[in-house]
Amino acid sequence: MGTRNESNHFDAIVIGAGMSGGWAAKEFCEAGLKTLVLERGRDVKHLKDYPTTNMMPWEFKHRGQIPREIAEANPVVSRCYAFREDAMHFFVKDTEHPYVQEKPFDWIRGYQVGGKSLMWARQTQRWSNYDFEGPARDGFAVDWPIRYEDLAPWYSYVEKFAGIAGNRDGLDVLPDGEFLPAWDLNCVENYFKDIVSKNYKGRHVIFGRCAHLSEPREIHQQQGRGQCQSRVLCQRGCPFGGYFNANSTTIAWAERTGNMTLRPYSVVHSIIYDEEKGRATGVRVIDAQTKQSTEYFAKVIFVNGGALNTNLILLNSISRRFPAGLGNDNGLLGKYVAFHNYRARISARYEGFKEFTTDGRRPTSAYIPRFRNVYRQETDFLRGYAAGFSASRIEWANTSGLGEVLLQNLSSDLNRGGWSVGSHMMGETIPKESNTVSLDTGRKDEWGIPLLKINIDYDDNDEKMIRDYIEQMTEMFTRAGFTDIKATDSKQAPGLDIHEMGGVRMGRDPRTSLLNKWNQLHACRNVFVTDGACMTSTSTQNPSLTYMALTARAAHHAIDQLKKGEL
Amino acid sequence: MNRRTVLRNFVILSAGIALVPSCRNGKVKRSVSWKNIRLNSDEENMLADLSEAILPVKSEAPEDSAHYFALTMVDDCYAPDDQKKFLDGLKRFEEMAREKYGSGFVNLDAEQKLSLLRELESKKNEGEAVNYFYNTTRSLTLQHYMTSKHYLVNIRHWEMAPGRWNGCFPVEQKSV
Repeated sequence: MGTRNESNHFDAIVIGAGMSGGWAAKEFCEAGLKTLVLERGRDVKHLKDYPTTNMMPWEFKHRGQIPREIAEANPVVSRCYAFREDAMHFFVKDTEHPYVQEKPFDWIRGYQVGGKSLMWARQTQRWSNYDFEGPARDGFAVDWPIRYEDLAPWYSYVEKFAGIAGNRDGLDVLPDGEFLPAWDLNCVENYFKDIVSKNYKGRHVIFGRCAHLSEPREIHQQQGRGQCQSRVLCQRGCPFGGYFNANSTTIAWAERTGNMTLRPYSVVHSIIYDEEKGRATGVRVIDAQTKQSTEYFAKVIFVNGGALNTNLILLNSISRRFPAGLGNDNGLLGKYVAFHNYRARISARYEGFKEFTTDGRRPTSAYIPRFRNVYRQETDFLRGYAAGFSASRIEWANTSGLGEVLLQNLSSDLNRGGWSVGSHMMGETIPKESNTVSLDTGRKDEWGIPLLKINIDYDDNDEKMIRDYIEQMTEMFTRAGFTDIKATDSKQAPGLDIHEMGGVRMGRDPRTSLLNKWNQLHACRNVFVTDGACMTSTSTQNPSLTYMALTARAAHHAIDQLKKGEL
Repeated sequence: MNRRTVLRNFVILSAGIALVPSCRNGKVKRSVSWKNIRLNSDEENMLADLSEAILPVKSEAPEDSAHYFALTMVDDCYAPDDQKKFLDGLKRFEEMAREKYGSGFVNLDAEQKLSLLRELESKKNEGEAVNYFYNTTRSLTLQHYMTSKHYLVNIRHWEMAPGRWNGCFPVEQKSV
């Protein structure tokens, strides 16, 4: 694979240096391809650019709280649980890149090298065929063009490199992977696990698989990463490289090959389509700071801008051949967007195990894989939900009294109550044609790109699922003898789950999908989409691991095709 | 560095020292300028005395003191209505001290101060603002102490990187 000399010609271009783009960069660079990685935000170097990583609690001026002026100026991002004083520099402020909410949508973004992989919640559950076969079985969206068997080796591939802690639970609904040792459940979580397995066939409480180096292997040492120290301050970037992010792992690896050109502050305006050649030839980039336009060229282009921004780039890639956006012959680009339903949570107390508490910290907690409608349709709604579950001992300092008495009280042993238990739902939503993103041609951002209009909402299926989650969890909690059970529906807008997916879905048929089984645009084969935008359905699992596996798989396909001269 | 630069730096440094607020018992005599709230140095000293009466903790520098933290939080994080209520309550609190003891809060002896605070904690009908002011000051004073290095490290044995997890740890082995 020869490379041209011109400074703006490459073998491959990867748009976006985050969760999935990092994998494309790594695979291409390892294969010897000169690769341009375009990132719209600033560079964030592992270790060097984690300004808060070693700050102590008392060193934060507002002890973590976001000052009111910032919160009021940025209502959307302020609703994100991780937008706190220690990590707010990794989030896009509302004012920095506006969008149009035709319906309320909390679009949470991280524009920087590493993207949202810097601040993600690090939960990594595989899909099973019960997930891939969902649309075909239940008659929604379109059939996935792949099955678990197609992705399983790639799950293994990315798991080994990223480092995933977990137990081999032997569940058909949540296949096992290449796991490092898991942390343990605590007494109450283990107790709940027993109650659930005794009382419910097909319901399991397991330790959530997570992207943490509980026991680094040779490959992780080669990456310069070390053992997770259970700080649980991951959103700041980890000084040990204890969790997976693109900065410490894939991007750093790509950089070491010498084949990567990383260009931060590069907002991709559009992909350039050459009608004579019948393929994409490059991308048009606006420098985020100088606003200058530059074109870069390559044989293959991976679009990993983050689900909705990937839609935006394709929609804005207009040519005579593709007047409605690149690859959009069927008019489905930007449609069938879906997300995860995180609205309901439930809390309670448990009065047992009072002779125990916990010591140290761990980066995740228990996970309940989907148990509704797995083997057959059994409820009045389609699909189902997974759930998080965790328990913690209620402990508090004695804050009564005044003066010396108060000082003395604060220094005494903690008061201990029972245990606090809680769960939150992670529901599958059904992709619908009416859930769309499109361009606001009248309004442009400061880089001259139309604003994205977002029109996404819940539906009746979601409401039924919320009710069922609350009913089922209440029943399971009651069986476990938990008391003071309280369920809440946050009514949060879509988007705050930060699992938006679809708009450029995969499928077998060019008439009903945008991408083929290798994530190539049916109508423009040298453009690949392997981030959340490619998802045909959402299932319930935290999606990043699946994006990573799809990206590695598609990148290897692209490399093979390049070698054969087919791209 | 040449002699002129050294001299110039010395002058700047001396000027800096001259500008450092004079301190008495770690209290700021000159009022720092806050962004959103207005209070004079007497009021600030009163707040310093109040948080020290609630929780007698000495701070090494004025910026590390509880009342400075409380004012920072009220100034930066509280809504305008709450900032106003806090400042109204502060004034009312000082009036209460004068009504009861004929003297400002800073001039009361330790027992008088505590007795005023106890009265405030027991009575809920002192008017919304003064209760709001007192409760806010108390809770921010506690937050400041309970997130301090001394409290977290020495008293709670908090560790930045515990490197371990035990989900079933006997309470009796836990020292705090």
